[in-house]
Amino acid sequence: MANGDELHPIQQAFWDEHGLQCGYCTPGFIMAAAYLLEQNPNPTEDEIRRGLEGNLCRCTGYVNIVKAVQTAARTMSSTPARKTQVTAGGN
Amino acid sequence: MAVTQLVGAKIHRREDPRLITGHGHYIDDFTRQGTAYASFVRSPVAHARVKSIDVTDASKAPGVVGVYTARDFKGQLAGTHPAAPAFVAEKKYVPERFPIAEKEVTYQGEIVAVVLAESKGQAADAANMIQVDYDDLPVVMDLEKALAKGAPKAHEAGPDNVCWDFTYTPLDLTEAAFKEADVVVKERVLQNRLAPVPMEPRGVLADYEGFDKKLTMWLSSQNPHFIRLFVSGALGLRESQVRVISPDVGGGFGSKISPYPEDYLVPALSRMTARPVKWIETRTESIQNSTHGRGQFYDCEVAAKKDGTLLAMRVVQYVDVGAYHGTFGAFQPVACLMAGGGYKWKGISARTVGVLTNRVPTDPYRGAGRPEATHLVERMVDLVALELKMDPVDIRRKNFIQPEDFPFTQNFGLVVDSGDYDKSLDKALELAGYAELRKKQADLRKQGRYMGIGLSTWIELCGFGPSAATAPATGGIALVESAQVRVTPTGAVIVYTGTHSHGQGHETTFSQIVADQLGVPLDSVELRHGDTAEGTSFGYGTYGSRSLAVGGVAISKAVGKVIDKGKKLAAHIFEAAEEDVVFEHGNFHVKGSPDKSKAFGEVAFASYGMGLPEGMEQGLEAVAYFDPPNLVWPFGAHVAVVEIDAETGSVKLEKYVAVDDCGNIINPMIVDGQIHGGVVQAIAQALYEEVVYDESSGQLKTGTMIDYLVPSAGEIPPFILDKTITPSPTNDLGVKGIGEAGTIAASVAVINAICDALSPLGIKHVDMPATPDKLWHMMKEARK
Repeated sequence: MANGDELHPIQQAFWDEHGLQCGYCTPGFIMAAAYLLEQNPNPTEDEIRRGLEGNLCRCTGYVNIVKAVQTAARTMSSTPARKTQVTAGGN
Repeated sequence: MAVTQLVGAKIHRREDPRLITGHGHYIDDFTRQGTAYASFVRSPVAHARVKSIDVTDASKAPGVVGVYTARDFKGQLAGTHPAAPAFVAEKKYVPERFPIAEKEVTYQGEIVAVVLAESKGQAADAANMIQVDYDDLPVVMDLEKALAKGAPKAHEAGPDNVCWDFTYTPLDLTEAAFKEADVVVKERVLQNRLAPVPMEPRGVLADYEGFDKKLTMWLSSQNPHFIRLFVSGALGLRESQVRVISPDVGGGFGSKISPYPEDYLVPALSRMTARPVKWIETRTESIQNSTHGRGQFYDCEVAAKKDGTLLAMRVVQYVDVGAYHGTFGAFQPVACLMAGGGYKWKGISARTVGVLTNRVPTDPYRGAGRPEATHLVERMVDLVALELKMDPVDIRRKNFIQPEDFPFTQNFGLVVDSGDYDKSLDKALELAGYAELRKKQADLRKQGRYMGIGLSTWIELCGFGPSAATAPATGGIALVESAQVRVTPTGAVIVYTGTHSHGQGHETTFSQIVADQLGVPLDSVELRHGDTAEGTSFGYGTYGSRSLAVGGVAISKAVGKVIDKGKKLAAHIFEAAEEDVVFEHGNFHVKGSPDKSKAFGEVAFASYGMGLPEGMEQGLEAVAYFDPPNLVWPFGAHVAVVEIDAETGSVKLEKYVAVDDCGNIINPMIVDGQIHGGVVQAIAQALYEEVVYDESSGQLKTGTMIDYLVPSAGEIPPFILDKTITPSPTNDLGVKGIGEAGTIAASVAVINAICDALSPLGIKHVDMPATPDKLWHMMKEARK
């Protein structure tokens, strides 16, 4: 998803919001979040929680994962160029 | 430590760029050319004699390298599974444990054979072809029945099922206090058996190189040096012949501290076949065979005065040891030593009984013994309050150890280093809006709704630990911590620690400490851990919220030694007295003349050159060990608010407030993350998770993630977090631990809230997990 050294907004948001600890579930959550935001660019917190229910994390208690998706949604809606990148599956 | 830039700041984690881009390296990312894959044949029954094992078909299956049973490992592996004394000085019966069963299997999942094949799939297919003939034996599941005279035995050859029966403080100690009591409350409190379920299961890749007689092992471990110690011993190798590498670790929660049968069998197979051998655990194997946590019950009595003054406690802990003594399984009785919580007692009588059963062994799981202690004391205090019709807040305040009492020697002689329990409770109640919540509760009760408010004013001991306490507990090795700091000629700083992160972010926090102390940019500090070939001769691993409070302090000490040498050298360069040289903001200068200064990097470069002071050796590096003078004692106050659906018994967690105090904070973002995760694991214990075995057959009924309910994002409410900061006097950084705090605090906040909600029905106590089914039945009974 990253474009060279430039992280995708979802990756950046996981970093900014401490949305990972051991990191093992993280690629799965990032992809689930990408799909969720592709389907619903402005999800409510409840929609995010439901949208991520298919993935499990044992470290974060999901608190900062939810925050990361909210942050990513905000960034992506203000930078439309990055939206298409998700649809295209990134690099 | 001086006021600095990085310590205390929200610094982005240095490990994240690789982890968010899919470049982490977990155990299954490693392979070696010519690797053979292992698949284990495990007993499908809980207790049986092994009559025969027929490997004929499996040996002929496609791709099979070999099939091995216990006899094949007899000349390869020596000794029995290690069982540390921990907090139980005398054991009654510790069954011998060979990593692979020969004549008797004692829990479902015990290994009886192993297949090696060219691929993982071929190994699994062939393992299915092995025919084992079992002769069933009676299973031991219920702890009380197991202790009865003439009960069936978990091991046929054992004298009985008592692994230990140890009295810390006798019953008569509390006799006088119980006599003066106005009220005595009594309860049996259960601790449900839990599966740790790290997202990354365990796995081992072993490569024994016959010509060099050297073994390299990659495994997912919290504790690589101890694994090297145990594995080298079992394989008859020197520690120097074994290198253990634990790369990125995908969670552990205690389940990756102790050695496992596979940790011995896989390297033995590599040596036997002269090939690298790899095994990655399946999810069902993980739930079935990784050590479980908790699995206990407590019989407890508390004596109190009618004004709410707590007098004395009597507690007997019953621990389901499982079929074998977990390496650190006897750590869990620390619950007895912590049973008094943050309160003052005239006396506590405590005894622990470890019972062998036909289940997988128990061992430390996040918090290990301290969640149980908090759950017990906070539950009992609420029961006293209920009996006396007191507000749970008031009874706590009345009995707290007060700030002026610290250092406070508690009933078992442990010295609580610091605290201010009212302060964190005040903050938590304010954030929760406690007074309004009680008003709302009264209103809802009038409407027949079940809303409850639960408190947990928890305390913890962690940071293992002082040599005087830990050397006897391990049977010899003190759980101090080591660090090495190396400064290269160009001023790059490489730090080695004996702890090992499995998600805690040590690469970031430890670098923050070093960068501040040396006044260098964060990027010039590199943290290395998890490889026994690097750094000091021994490391002690990550568990018991020890990494910062012991390992971080050791690093800081080693940096201090580097600075001291730097000062000596700088004094020589400045032609000044050493005591006149000051080091601040990354520069050495002479007191009073800041313009006469050398940067840290310049002094580092000079240390590799010529013209050093008389007697000084080249280089700039130091090793330090830190033997802490005491444990550290975090604390806090949590408030949970629930509403229980009168029709279905389901619990809705409406609000969760956590105010925690872990002393000085290195990185608040990481601290919050630890609390989030810990609290959720405890909420999961309170509401969802339980390892269930069939009582008559010993079959595991929760072997998949459909049956064993690890919560998803949908189950968990948002939190309100806050902090108080009471620096620890135990170490120079003033830090305590935070890795386990959430798990220690939270289960009882939720259960107390549930009990509070159901109190109008006359329900006083609810055990975990408080499932809708359980609560629905209790409510139905109560309404009759």
